[in-house]
Amino acid sequence: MVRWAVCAALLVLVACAPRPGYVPISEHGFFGYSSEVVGPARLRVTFTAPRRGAGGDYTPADGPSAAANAQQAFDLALLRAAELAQADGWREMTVLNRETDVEARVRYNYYSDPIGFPFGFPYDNRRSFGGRRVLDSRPSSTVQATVVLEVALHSGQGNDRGPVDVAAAVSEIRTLYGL
Amino acid sequence: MVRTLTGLGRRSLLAAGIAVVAGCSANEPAGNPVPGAAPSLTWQINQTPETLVLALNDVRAVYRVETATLRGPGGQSIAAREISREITQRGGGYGGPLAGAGVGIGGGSRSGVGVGLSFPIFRSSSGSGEERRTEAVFNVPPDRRDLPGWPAAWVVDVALTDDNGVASTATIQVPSSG
Repeated sequence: MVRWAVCAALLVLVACAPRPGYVPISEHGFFGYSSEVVGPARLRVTFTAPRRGAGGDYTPADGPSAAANAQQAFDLALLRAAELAQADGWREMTVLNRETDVEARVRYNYYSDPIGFPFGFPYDNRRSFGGRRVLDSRPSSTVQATVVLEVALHSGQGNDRGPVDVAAAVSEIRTLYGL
Repeated sequence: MVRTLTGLGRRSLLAAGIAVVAGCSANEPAGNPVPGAAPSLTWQINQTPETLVLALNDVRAVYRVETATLRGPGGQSIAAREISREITQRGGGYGGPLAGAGVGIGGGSRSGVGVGLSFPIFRSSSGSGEERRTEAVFNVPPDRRDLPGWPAAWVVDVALTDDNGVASTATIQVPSSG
């Protein structure tokens, strides 16, 4: 019985675990990676992470969900660049520049206050909305991050070196995200 | 009569205008306005030993920052190593009454008390807002004396695109401290 309960809990955990969305963006449309060659030994890789819930009222200054989403987008863009580099025989690479776009959406719902304070509807705030006293439901937020990396590829020999070891990056990021 | 109405109309218009201006100015951010851009866009520069960070805040999300380049007097230029843009969209929907509750008391040969609840069928929505924050990070030498004319002769060129897709460049003077 206990074993079944543990299995069920694990299944729930696996089902609820965030999916990194590591697929070509052409396959899904809303998240995933794409890449282009922008010069000799130069790549531009884009990764858009799946949109995630960000709890209640999103505040840019302390948006841990946005930071986590942006970190994931960066890691998986780096993974894609490393995979492409590896497939082409490059051993090291340098991230030349990085662009991060985070889009946060916050949704509020307002309702007329039918009874008035302090009778308990499950709402946190009361405020004026269009001149009416209303109940303000707990806001819900989502975030989605996109990272664009431009990388230079290196053979890893002589002076053609870069700070990122391609094979190590592939192995570590795949392990980190369970890919 | 016509004159009176016109006077009232003017006064109302003036009052409405002041209200609009007051309402707008309440939302305007404190900060340095970006030259040549709408007042909703402001900037701040912070420096660490090895970086210069330009933060742009656009409370109306009019502009997208495309690129940012630090430019010196002798044609030297340093492109931003990192640009982070964050757009926050806030939207609300008015759901009407959550539920209506009423209590009725009736009299007569038999008195009684009744309680009723009602629920909304239709909903309307309104209210939205966008704000965009951008940070551009530049690598600069720890010893700024390596940059001739620093900081007075250095500027940051910011390439912007507005809501209508119109491109422009704003130039921001690097402050002497920050």
